[in-house]
Amino acid sequence: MYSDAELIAAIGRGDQMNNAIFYIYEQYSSTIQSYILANSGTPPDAEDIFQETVITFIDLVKKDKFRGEASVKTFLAAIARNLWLNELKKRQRSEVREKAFETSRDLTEMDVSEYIADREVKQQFVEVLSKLGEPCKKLLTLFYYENLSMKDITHHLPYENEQVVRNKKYKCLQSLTELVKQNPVIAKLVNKQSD
Amino acid sequence: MEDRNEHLLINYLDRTLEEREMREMEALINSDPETRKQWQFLQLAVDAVEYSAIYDQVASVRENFRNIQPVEVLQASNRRPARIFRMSRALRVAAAVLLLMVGAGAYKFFTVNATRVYEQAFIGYTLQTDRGQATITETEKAYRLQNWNAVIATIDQLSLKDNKALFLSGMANLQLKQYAEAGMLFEQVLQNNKQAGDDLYHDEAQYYLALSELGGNNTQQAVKLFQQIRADKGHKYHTQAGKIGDLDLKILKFKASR
Repeated sequence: MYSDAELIAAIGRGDQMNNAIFYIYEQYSSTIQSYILANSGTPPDAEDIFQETVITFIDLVKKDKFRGEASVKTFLAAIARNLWLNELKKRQRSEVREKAFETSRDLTEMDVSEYIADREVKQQFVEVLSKLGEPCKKLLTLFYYENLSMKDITHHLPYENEQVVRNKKYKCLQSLTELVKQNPVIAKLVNKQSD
Repeated sequence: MEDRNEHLLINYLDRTLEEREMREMEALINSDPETRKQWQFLQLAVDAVEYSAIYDQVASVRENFRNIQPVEVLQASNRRPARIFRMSRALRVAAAVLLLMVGAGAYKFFTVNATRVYEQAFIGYTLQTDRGQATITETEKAYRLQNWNAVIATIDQLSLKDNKALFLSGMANLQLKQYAEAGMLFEQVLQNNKQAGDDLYHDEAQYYLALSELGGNNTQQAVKLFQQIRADKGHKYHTQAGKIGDLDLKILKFKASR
């Protein structure tokens, strides 16, 4: 059982991440998935949108972009609503979209659209990593996400010493950067920023 | 982009450059559009790693969560009306009770194992001072200090080992999780008594022999000994052995026979 502040702290530290995610599922999945179902979503839609909501929320908390301006429940609901409306727009189902707008007002009025602006880019992130290959993905995850040192990584992966890990990591990041450059959706974002 | 610059950018990202190099790289990012672009791609690559890791972690928890949720949680809201088999109240109660019993039984079956039963049944043996005993031996001193290796060493030096010495050495081995050695010493105590028609340390040796067998994965033998102790109301360890449930012993026996 976490208070909002404890949940944010646990995600920030990253040491109880699985427990924190499980808690979010236990506490909020039912309400939020019901909202999706009530607004023309199918059960798989509801599950997928909730999953994306949780990912977005954790990403924001880890980047210190959620500072408790609303309760976790309100914030999650707002993210879910925005993601779902975004999804409906993508599916070009205008009649359904109008209905969804009507019934969503009672859930929340909070505007989180800025937080999900790069949704398509985020989806491409997962795509790009899947092309990188498992050894490189694992190595970069241990270094940049788990914040493990080169020495610690030698205990997790079959590399002889820290120097081998360092060289491998360099090559992996180079390959990933190349894949990122070649991805049209992500490249468009950089080009937009450069203009 | 030059390979050297790319290397420097990665080191800048990882903050492994000297302070002077960090400042130079920062200036280059600000002044050179090509380097800035490369820097943005690098940052996006790391963002991708972090986002993908969160994605995998949430997906894995989602899977776990789904596995423990009743399947009808989402299906109940499905717009396609499901065909529902309606049970009477009495039948529903009976089904719920049956489900609980099956669940509890399955839980019991999967959680009972030799290690768990060993931990439940193990109690340390406290050495009593014999009436009229004037001095405390080195072995007793070491035993009271829980210096198990010293207990074994002092007993090994004895030319004549009585049942007490054998039993204490057995206990010291058991504390060190040397189950085979402990078991042999307890068996020797039982053997001595059998030959002499005595019962010195008999009950103690039998109970801790059962634990040694359990610890050493001779589960069938351990269960047999526990059952003998449970059947003997005059046994010093009758109550202690009774704390292990009958069902637990049966499950242990069944699992060992497979």
